[in-house]
Amino acid sequence: MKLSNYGFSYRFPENSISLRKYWIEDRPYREYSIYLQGLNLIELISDVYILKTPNEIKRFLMANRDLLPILVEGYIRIIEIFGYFPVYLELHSDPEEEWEELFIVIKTKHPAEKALELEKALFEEWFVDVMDKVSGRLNFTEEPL
Amino acid sequence: MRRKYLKPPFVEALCEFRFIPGEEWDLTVPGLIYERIKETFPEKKQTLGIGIKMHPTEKGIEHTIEPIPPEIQFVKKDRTAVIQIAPNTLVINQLRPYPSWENFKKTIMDNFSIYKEIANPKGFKGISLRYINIFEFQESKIELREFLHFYPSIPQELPQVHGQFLVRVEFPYESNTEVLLLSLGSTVPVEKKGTFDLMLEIAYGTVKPELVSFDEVPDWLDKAHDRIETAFEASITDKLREKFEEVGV
Repeated sequence: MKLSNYGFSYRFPENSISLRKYWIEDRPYREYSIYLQGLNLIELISDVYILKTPNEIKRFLMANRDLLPILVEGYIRIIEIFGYFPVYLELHSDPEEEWEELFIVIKTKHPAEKALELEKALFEEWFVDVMDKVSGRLNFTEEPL
Repeated sequence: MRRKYLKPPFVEALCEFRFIPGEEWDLTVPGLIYERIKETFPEKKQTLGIGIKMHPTEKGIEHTIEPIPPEIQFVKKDRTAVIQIAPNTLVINQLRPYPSWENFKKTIMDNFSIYKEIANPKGFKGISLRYINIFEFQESKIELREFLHFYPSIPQELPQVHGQFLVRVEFPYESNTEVLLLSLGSTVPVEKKGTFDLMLEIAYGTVKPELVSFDEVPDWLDKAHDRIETAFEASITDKLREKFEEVGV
């Protein structure tokens, strides 16, 4: 199992050196580097979401680091509202317009009417609060599995 | 003589102190520290106190959300430095632009003194100094040996073109009571498709922190910094150095 103990800003970083064996004693290793906290959140997001084009999405996230905590919180809200279903991240872009937008695509087995109701709940309980911050860069939709 | 660069690959430096508490952690400590440093570090941030744990079940992998202790961050006016406080822990982060070792050391020592005065710890559980550097390459492919003296050695039997990698070496110092960790690996690039970034992370830390007293911290920091700087310069070639535009050459 890749993940063992996550926090918002910490996990044992697999992609960086760690002083864990020298400092871990009474608690999980905590990453205090601001830069690596961002990378670790990208890894966390890569573990909980399914990334359609991982390299491109990671690059997009690196350039839009303010979206990282929003995506983690979004995932928590999604599983609270929809239950456990695959959740994809898709990067839509138009190179000529230099436009890129990340889409959260929730694939569920819920009947259409129920899915619509849950999508509305997700909007009201989460997305409406972050909409101003992410406008034009992050959106979500629901699709049948 | 110390080399100086106009465009250094520096991304972040951080100094982490973990303390043996003198008494039970007092929740008012971060507030008392803030009162002393708020002129320079006015912005307060608190990390979210939740964590995600993944575990396999019969239905697949499930995630549970768990509470974790939050941490407090005090951010400098120009957002180039951050002080992080967690129970029995003090971290001083320096972000871009790097002001010089003398200035960063002063920030470390000023905040260490304030923490020590307020939290009254008994000793150290750990001290570390870390530097993170990012080398940006516009090329889609490079020969690592042209730019670095420290890189993975690939046997002839294997393909000589490779993708992501990570190499890490630990060097014991001071009769195994301290250690330098040198790590080079791929990282997520910010630039457009086809470019790539490498991360060189150098950390120096205590294995036996009980051997360092509070009074020895300034000298310990200088020693750690010197060893990190030596490791950095030894790891790169002149071709890579050219990208950083060395001053006085």
